[in-house]
Amino acid sequence: MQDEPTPIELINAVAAFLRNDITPLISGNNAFKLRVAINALDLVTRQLALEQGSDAREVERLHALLGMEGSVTDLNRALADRIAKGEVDLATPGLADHLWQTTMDKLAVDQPNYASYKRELQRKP
Amino acid sequence: MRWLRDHDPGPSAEVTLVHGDFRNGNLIIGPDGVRAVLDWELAHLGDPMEDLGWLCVNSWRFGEIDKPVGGFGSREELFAGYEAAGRSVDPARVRFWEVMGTLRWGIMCGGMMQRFRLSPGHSMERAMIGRRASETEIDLLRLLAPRGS
Repeated sequence: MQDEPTPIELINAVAAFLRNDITPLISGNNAFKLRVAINALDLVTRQLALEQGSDAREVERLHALLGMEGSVTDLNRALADRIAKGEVDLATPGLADHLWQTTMDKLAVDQPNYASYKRELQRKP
Repeated sequence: MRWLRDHDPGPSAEVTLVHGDFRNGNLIIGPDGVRAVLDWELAHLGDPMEDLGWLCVNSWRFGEIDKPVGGFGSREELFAGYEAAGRSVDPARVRFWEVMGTLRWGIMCGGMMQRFRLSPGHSMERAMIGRRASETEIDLLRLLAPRGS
């Protein structure tokens, strides 16, 4: 077991330093790249916080949909294979809901400010 | 990809010059209107509806998601302007190309990730574009499996 602070706390501290102390000092293309860098750190923080829970729920849904066990990668490959072969489609009970939930969990990490995501968050699932 | 295969409208009756990347970022606009259309490296002969569909891809609306044409106009206005210029619109083909264009941009985002993997030293921006593929996934779901309002 590693000591604290946790990775999330360390990344947040670095991101806060870059945002608050370094951003005012630089301009031009490097200022743009610094924003990209801070966005990357924030993304990693969100993934560290959310990924375990969302992956576990994804595996549960895939297990129910496909009737098989496996890693999240294996199960996704099996689902993609069945979709490609035409064995399941959007009319298959549960599939659209699964794709929606999985995609919403991805956006929560990747781009929580994306307009389509924010619009869909307002909907009752 | 299944949806595209199942909804393939077949060869276009009309084959014209297609720009291939026709969107706001490739237009120079002055007070007098369009001054230049840039970036012709994807130009090809094909279905003229392809350019109309690509122009409606949500990624080019920059947050103005209720204005499907580049974030500034409606499809009705686009189609009316196109027809006023003496051409005809096939809305079903435009929709096919919008779905195709959304998938295409998502795959291009994945390609950015692969290029980053090959030379990670100098492409932090490419790495982050790789994480924008999911934006096109939610846009594809909004097109193909929309939820109730």
